[in-house]
Amino acid sequence: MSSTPFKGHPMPSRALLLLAALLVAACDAPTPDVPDTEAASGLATMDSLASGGGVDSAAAPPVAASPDSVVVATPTLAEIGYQEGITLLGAADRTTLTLPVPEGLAPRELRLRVLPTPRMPDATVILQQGARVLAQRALSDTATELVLPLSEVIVQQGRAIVDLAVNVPGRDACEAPLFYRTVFTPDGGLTYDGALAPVRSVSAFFAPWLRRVTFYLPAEPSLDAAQAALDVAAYVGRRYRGMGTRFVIGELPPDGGAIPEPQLDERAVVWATDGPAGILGPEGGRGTVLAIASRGDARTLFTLPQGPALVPTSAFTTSLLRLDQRSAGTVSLDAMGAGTRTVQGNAIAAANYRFSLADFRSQAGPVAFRLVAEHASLPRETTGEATVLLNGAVIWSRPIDEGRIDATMQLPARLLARDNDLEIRFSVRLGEGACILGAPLFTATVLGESAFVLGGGEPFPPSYERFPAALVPEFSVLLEPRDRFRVELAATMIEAMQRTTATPMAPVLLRDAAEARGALLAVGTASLADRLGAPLATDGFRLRDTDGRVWDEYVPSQSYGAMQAFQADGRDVLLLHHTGADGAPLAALVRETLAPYGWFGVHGDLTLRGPESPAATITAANSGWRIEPIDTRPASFFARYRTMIFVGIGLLLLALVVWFYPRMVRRELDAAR
Amino acid sequence: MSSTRLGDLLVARGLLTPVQRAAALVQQRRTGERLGRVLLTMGFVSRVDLARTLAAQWGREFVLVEPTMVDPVAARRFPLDATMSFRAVPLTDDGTTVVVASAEEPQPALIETLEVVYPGRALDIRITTEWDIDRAISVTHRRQLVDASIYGLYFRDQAESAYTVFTPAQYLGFVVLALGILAGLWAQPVFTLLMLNVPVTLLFLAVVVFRTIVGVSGAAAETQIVISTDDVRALDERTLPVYTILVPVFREANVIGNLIRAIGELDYPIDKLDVLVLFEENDPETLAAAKAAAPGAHVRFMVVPAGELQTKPKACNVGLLYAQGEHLVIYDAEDRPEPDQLKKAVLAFRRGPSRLACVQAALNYYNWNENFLTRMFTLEYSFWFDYLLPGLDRLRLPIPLGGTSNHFRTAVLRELGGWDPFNVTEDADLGIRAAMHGYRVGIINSTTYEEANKRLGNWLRQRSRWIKGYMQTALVFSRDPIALVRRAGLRQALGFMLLIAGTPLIFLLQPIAIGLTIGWLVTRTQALAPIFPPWLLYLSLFNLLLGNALAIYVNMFAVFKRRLHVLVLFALFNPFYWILHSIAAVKALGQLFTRPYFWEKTVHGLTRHGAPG
Repeated sequence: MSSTPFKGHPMPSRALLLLAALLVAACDAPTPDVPDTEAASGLATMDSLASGGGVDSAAAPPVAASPDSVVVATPTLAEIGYQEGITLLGAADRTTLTLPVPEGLAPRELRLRVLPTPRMPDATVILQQGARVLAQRALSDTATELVLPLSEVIVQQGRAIVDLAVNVPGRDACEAPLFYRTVFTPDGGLTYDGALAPVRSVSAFFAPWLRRVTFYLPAEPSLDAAQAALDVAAYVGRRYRGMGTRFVIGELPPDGGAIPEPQLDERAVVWATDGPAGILGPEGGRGTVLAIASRGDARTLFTLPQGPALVPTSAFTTSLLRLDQRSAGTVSLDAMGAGTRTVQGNAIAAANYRFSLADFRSQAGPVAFRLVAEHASLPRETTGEATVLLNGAVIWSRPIDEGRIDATMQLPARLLARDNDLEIRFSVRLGEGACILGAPLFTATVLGESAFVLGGGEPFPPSYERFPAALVPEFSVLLEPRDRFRVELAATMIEAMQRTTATPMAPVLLRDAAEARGALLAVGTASLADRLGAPLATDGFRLRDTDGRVWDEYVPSQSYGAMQAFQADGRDVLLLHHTGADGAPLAALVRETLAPYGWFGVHGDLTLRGPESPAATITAANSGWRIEPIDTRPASFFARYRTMIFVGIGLLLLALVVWFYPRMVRRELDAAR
Repeated sequence: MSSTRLGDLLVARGLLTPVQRAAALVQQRRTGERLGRVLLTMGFVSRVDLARTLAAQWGREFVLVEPTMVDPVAARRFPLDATMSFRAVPLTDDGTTVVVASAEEPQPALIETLEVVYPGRALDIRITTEWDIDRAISVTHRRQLVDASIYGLYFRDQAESAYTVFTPAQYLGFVVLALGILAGLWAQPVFTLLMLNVPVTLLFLAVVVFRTIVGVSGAAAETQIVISTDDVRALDERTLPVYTILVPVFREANVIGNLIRAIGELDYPIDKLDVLVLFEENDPETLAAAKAAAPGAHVRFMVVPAGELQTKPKACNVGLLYAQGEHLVIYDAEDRPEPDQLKKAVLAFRRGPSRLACVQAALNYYNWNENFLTRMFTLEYSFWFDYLLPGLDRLRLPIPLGGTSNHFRTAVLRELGGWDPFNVTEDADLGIRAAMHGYRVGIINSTTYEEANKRLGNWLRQRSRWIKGYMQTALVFSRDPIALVRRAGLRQALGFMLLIAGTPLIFLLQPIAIGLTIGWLVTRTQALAPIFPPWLLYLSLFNLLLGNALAIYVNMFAVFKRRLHVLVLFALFNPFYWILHSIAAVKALGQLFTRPYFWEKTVHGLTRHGAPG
């Protein structure tokens, strides 16, 4: 074990090795036949160069061994990315699940809590991987739980990809989609065999699934440490997008105290003042602490340009955007990672695509969608139509009769939101008497060359809707003052926004506002709001609607936290600030605003929270509301020190009166002579 | 004592030619003055020859008095006022004989006084020149001269002296007022501001109305010519009294020669002029320049002994001690009085009431068209001296005297205590004091032309001194308001307060009023509404619009009397000119507390213009 693993190696070499290690670990190239052990051994070799195989860093804080708690790795569906559960519609529907498999574990069972449609005929639930059926279970309308074995599943790169399907035999197959709705609630989950393995390499540090990642920071972190924290936040948001993995900022024990070694389903990252990056911990420990000692290491580890490639398949896989495949003016479904998809159904067959405007790196978003699809021929006496819905609204529809569709449709700007759902639905109406059990399935394939057309669209007005699109790929972060509290707020916001886009977010922490380039995420106090020219920048204010009615009021003595999105000096700014000395309202604002849907649920342009009142988000500036400062700062100063000022003037006056008295009244004649 | 007449003695001694004697006798018959003074002023004999001859005529020994010859102890035993009135200085006192030098023929009153002061001594009275007497007095009575000139009024009546800036009651009143305002602003700011606004607005209104009424009264008095040219021509010069002209100078070497020439041009018998040019000890340059002008024997140079104070009124008080004339006038070094002014003054005194203590001639500027400042100054002075003062005179209100060309009965002036050396507008103070003592001040239709300030800094210095002096005068005469009303009457007291106290107050408050007005016009703020209720707002607007318009209007018609029509439009610039007054007022207020007696010297001789012919 060496404490100087890079001895003799220049820094670029170290960075390259780290990069290579993570690339290998995260590469999603299909290597099903390569045993995990080989990959692990390869990584171990690199880690031995990169970090000495998990050696401690001399300048890093000590890690205290903590007793093992009973780590039962049984993540729920919500925790692995299916926060709203899984819904299968109609008589025949299926979905693809990506199941994380941490090192040392083997999948055992998929335990599903099910809500079948009442009075639904007995159906069949099928779990298969590729063409291989892993399990098949009967589903009655009274069933509450299904247990599907996973022992036969093949795990690749720490994940197993399976299809979950339901098949409901119905007398009237045409009506089935209208009535049958099979819901698997998010509290179902996975069970594993084996035990979580200790971390032995940097490449294996960020397991496919984790409960929590903690970044330890001192109360007043250095610029590099704070920058690393933001990088990790973006990385966690990106890598565990859709999962329940929590990212938190921890307090580094003062005076060199030890940090507790996390359990095996958690990780900790700590900024070391010196030394190489590496795994920390006691001999034979869990290896769940990673020390980073240089900004370069942090950059290499957490802000890889190939970031999207590192993200495992999950519920959001459809919004993966391969930037290198983006041709001028269009972004194909292939480029977005969705690829060609085939859907089947008796009456309805639908393919859903979720995409974020940030993925297009454009505030305007796509203006049109070119649908390229092929479908099976319709049986006799059968009619059908293809329909495209954007966020639930029909934007295009036409009969299907030629076997191939190649049509371009407008995407109305009014329907576009920061995060969108594009549904391509094929509806088939079988002929008279054909809607019976055993009716032929209709099949359609949406080709990967279908594409969004960019350019010329109306941009969003300055509001939350412009984020995170305005922040990708690189943006400035300003924290005033730069302390752990504000790093935590910024990190929380970055992580939340990163979860809405596959495009890596690269925050650049500034020393001061003058360095700002491009869009800005700022966390500070009222003075920062004033300097940035925010719409709300005073200690006290009244919020009036267009009719002049007062909707909210904060007097200068009331502290509040606020988040506001606006444009200043041609740049988009997302500002979090608070008045008064207590930042608790702002922390609560962030917590309440992001719950429960994260950044997905944030709309408007101004969020306010007082010490007692709950956070409220409104569209203020963009709807003509006015923010009226209640008091100017000098008046506030005068009001605050009014009595003291008057007492001071009075005392000064009295002093002058006493001083002048012998000169103005009781003049001594002798003194004059 | 010789019975030979003075003229014959001088001719016999070869000091005077018969022709000169004849000429002098002609002059003596015309003016009625003593021959010796006539001969001196005509320059036919020297003072020493005259005194030596007079000594022989009076049977007395002649002595040339050197200051070293004077025993100070013996000299100071003889009171200063007796020394001044008898023109006699005791030289030595050996216990048996007192040697006394006199410039006049010893009269029984002198001898009786000497016998009282030096009992049991033999008296040896010798004759000397007036200059020797003056010089001996200035050496031996130096301290007394300083005390009399500085503290004379204070010792006579402290209540009339500005030596004490505030009385305890005034001081307490100001302190209570200031602290009360402060407490009010803290507790009830709006109400307090309203309560301050009401009296301020009413003060503005009262001053506007007062000045308009007085100005209109002065306009009505415009056609009343007090003394006509015919009256002056009809005067018998033998009845004219000796007239003392005081000319206090300080660092005015550049203009002193002009003054001496101007005095020579006065239409008044030269042998009845007693011109006292008052120099400061630390100003030898002006004294040298005056000597170089070689004035006649009617001009005496007096060096004012340095003391704790060096102000113009102090110098004038010294001059008052030496003054020999029945009447007395003050001119500044750069003054150009109209030649018949002294005769008009004499006639005014003769025709005026017995309680007429002083007549004021108008002042105006001969360099009125030099620049903007001199034009505005001329407008102001034209209104002040041609309308305001005549208006005050007509309304029988106290008249603040102008700085120069105020003609006094010397005896009354001495009775009033002379000028207050601690008041930097001693002239205004003296006019009010005369009114308080029941005397009247009149206005005569004669003008003295002065040099208007052409430089802003110089103007501000002069104006801040004037305003500070008004503040001092207001403080002095408001020490006992009840006594003021009882002595002067309610109307006069109100007139005094509006003119003397109101003027500095208006100048101090004016910027606040202008600032509020501009602030309201620019911002349209409603913040001022609580302190401007409608009735007060209309009153303020009246003051602002009509008050200013009236002030401009009366300034416009002020120039008609002097036919300076070209200045009419300049009256429109008065608001800017008043801002300068406000600046000067702020400076004056600061000096009132820090340097109340400091005399801001006005520099003269800056103009390139000459006096009118």
